[in-house]
Amino acid sequence: MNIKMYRRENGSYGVRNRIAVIPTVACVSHVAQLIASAVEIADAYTHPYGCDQLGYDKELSSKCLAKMGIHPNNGAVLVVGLGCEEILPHDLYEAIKSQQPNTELLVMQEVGGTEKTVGIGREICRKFAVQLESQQKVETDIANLTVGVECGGSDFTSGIASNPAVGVFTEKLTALGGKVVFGETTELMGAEDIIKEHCTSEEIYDFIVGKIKKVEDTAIDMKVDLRGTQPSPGNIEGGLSTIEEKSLGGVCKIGRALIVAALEFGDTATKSGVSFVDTPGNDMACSLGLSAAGSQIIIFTTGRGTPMGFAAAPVIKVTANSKIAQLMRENFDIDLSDIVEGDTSIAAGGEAIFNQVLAVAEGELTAAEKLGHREFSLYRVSPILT
Amino acid sequence: MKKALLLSEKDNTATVLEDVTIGDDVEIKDANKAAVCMIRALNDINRGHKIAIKNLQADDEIIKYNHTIGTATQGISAGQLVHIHNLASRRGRGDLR
Repeated sequence: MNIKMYRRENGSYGVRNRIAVIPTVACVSHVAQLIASAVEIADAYTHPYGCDQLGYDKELSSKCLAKMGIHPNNGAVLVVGLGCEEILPHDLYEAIKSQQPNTELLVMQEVGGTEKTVGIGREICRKFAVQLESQQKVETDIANLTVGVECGGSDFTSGIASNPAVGVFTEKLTALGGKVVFGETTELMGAEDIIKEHCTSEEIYDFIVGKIKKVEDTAIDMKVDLRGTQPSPGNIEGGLSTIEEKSLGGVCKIGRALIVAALEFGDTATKSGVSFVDTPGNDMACSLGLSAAGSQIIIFTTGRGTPMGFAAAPVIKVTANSKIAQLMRENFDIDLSDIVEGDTSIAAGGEAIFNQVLAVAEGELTAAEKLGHREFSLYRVSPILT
Repeated sequence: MKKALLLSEKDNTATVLEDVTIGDDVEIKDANKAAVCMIRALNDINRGHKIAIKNLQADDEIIKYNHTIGTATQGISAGQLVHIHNLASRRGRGDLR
């Protein structure tokens, strides 16, 4: 099966042709925002970090910013640095430029003040925009599509309708050679037996279970009760009583498909089939991990209703809660509440999701995109020490 | 008559699909919409929350999706609401050490 996407120099394919304005450090976030705000297809990847980061924490932030630069949905990149931060602007620029030739760098302490940097940055982005406008999509195999699957603001409908429908989608895309990525390590706690049935090797199973145990051990070391956030107050009001119950509903997103790889946060999924990536359940951090793994599109199920999108990948919002589908209508792409209340089958729900993914891959804007939801976050793994 | 969904044969809880009032008869249906049994509600139960379909003792496993979702912290009668007041997770409990 073929679809039309934008081909990138490094061999990847994008479903969007956008400009990423990536600040290395919080201090230039506002500058990046001002630059991106002047060009319709530009997104500012603002974050509060980039300075006072050490060790693995700094490496992970640098790696994720580079992954956003080379993300296939971006056709051009402007790195905006300050000049004294630990995430070195020239290093980030080189890391991106090696795979995305359309990359420019501005370092404020070398260029000038806010007004001058913003002015030059906008000029660069306008030039990029003209250039990207003429780029045509090419026909390519759907095997070049990677879709992230995620749930957030879950309620009882997530596990009985929308996640199982996503599972049907996962089976279908992977059968066609495509890639599906899932994460949310904490929200696999209690679903280990099911994960085991899906793993194609013992190494993959051991990796995933090891990551779940690490979260659990951390909670125990911190002497905290995971129930403070898992399930969240909204999950509980929505009928979910325990993390196990939430996990058993969440794991339905992979359907009966097999898990062919297990990745660290920031790594890219390369194998056809389902890949696990070790992310927190936190929606922004998970979206970053799924995008860094190469997801050109994210499917996000929510029973409680959450509006967030993501800078790098269009987010398709699915709900099966009729009340929230009415109340937050403009935030949803797919309403599967008839699975819960009527006669729609889970298989039909999966088909609807598959068709929506194809439409979004070929350019249809998601509800989140139409509303300007292009959020971004880094995933900080160490406390601020210095 | 109110309806509740039983996700697997082994489950001892079902999800009510509409708001249930104490005394309501609740028809428990499986995923294929076949009727399994009828239970009289012993509590008000909000849409999407769980009703016990068997009598359970403290420390019994609560089953949904054919898997354990935690343990009963007290005796629970068929027809009662099963939620955080009588069902607890044992996972990630740093507070217990």
